[in-house]
Amino acid sequence: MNVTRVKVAPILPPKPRRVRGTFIVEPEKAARSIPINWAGRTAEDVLGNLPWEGAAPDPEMLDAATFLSFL
Amino acid sequence: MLEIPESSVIPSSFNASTIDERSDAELDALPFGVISLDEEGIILRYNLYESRLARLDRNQVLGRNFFTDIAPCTSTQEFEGRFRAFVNEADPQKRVRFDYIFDFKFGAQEVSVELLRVPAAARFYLLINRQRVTAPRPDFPAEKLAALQRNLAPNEDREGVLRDELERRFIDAPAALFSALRTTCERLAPEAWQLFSTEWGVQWGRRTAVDLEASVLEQTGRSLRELPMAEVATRVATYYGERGFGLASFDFSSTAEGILRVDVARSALAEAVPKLRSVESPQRTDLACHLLAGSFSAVLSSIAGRRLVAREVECAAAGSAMCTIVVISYERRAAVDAVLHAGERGFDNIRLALRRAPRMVESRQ
Repeated sequence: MNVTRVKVAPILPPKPRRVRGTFIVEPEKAARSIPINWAGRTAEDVLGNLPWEGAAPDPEMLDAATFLSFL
Repeated sequence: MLEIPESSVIPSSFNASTIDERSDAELDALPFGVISLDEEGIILRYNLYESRLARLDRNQVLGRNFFTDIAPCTSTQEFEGRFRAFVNEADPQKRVRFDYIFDFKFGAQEVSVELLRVPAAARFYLLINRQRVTAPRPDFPAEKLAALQRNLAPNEDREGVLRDELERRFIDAPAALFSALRTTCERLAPEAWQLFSTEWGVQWGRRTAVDLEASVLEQTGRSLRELPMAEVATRVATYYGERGFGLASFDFSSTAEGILRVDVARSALAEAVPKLRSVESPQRTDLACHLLAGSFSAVLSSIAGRRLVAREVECAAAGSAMCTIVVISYERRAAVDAVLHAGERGFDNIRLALRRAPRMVESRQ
């Protein structure tokens, strides 16, 4: 009897996305929640300075509304 | 010429009903002008921001005709004509919006005006958003300029009335007034001291925020929230310092932990009360600057656009070198209050407690 062996790849759960630091919210959600374009800066500019990535916000560079969103 | 940013535009959610239901105190916290008129143009309500920018005392303005007594510069077809047509408008839901220039002796203000009608009442609201502040227009006829405070109430200096350079009435009060207030609270409701003085500070701070916004608008054409945080800190510290409350310095080094620290040297409040510390109730008298903390929280909340809380955690009245106030998100206040309630003091204790209190990042939305 001929038996055709079919190799089946195991179904694994998707790998979790690797994120830096200890993210509490998804970056997209954070980007939406941060005031956009004050002092000519975008949320993406600001995201690089988020406290949960370890850097302290710069009071000279950040507008007050964005800075206080770190509290 | 100074451009005003989009962020200071009146929220579209505002309508006549929501405005009319607000108390005078709530209208005073708004960062734009609000004037209520009857169908003849008599002023019924006049908020703090409008009072500040027009440099008129609300008490002298209420009951007068807006078009003839207060702002003759609006007695034109473009303004008064639109208002009269709006009064006779059949559609109660209609909103009218137009741009105009208010001409004062001290400057011209380009504004956008929105007219609203209170349903089923003969009351109307003018919402006035400043767009630009410029020098006085040289060709504008003097008799049509908006009223000056000294013309509305002449000879006030002989009536025991003091006014500052912006025509706001003030009283020359000694710091001992705060000592007297503290003594009164100790006698009548000692447990309520923190609550009372913090809330008093919050109410004061809401007005301070309007004052600071108006000053920044006149000087830079921008709103406070758009200025760099370091500059805002300097302006806030200067505001309180010039009024004799002591020298505030902002420490940004803990912001990554969600804490803004403000140290106040030579706090007038702390120096007014230390002699009151009693053997029977030492815990009640060691923190004296709740008024300042409440005021800071209201100013910074106004800039942040969300609720922040400030608590004094060290005080010169209790022997510290200076007073320390921490500003945190409203959601984390319980952690600080628990430490203070347990009788612990000091920034480091508060910082440790806050490390155990999760930050509510979702609250940013």
